[in-house]
Amino acid sequence: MTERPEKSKSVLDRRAFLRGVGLSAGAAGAAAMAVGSSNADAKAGTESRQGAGYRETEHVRRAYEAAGF
Amino acid sequence: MARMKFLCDAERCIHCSGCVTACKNEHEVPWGINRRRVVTINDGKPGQRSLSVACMHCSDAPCMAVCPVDCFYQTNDGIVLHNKDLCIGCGYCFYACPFGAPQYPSTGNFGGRGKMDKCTFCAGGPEEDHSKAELEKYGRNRIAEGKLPLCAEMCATKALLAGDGDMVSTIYRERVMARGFGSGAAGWGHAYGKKG
Repeated sequence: MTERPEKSKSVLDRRAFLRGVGLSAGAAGAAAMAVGSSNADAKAGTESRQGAGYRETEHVRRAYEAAGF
Repeated sequence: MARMKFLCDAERCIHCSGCVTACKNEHEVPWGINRRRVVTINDGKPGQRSLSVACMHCSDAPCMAVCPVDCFYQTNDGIVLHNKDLCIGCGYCFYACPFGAPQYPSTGNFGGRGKMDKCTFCAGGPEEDHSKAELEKYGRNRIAEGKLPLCAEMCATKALLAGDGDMVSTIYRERVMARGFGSGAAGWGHAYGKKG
């Protein structure tokens, strides 16, 4: 009879452990979603950033002329 | 809309590495990284040629396709750039690139490589044009200044051509008409496909 309380204690430990695993998995999922959304925001930010872009300036025309020799 | 392209005319390249030096100096590229380098093909055999190679800013860029964090983007001019704030240094782009363009600044514990670095076609990055952050992370933004990549502008024999793809192919066509096809436009099929 001395084994019984120990057994129930180990069962409780296991349940607490599994509950903890479940909670941490849920938290990890939520964190992954948060990271995913921040990546998507950052991506949207970079895609909209195009800068001044190419222009055919006098400098560029002279460079083409020099390359054509 | 102009489509930016590189072309190295192997009939003219003399392996002086002026393009490599110009790039390193202009962008203050750290030790261990060469955004551009000159390679020898058919070494020691008849038909040996030198080629200046960097990111070709491919039309259907394999680096963009494999990046797990989608840090690459293509500008309206067809320049392939990346965001170093998103890069995790996984190295997938290095394995995907047919030109070996992506470079990594360090080798650390657990295979850490640091943020990927590559040729930007002198077009900076996602930071504000001419900002300090852009200069530190990606180098100078000559395209926004109304100029062309320095490697091509500095090339002594004009073997390396850069700029609007139509202009580049017009210049190259004139050379081919004058002297014959030679070794051809190396890498164009890989980078730009048949239609360009």
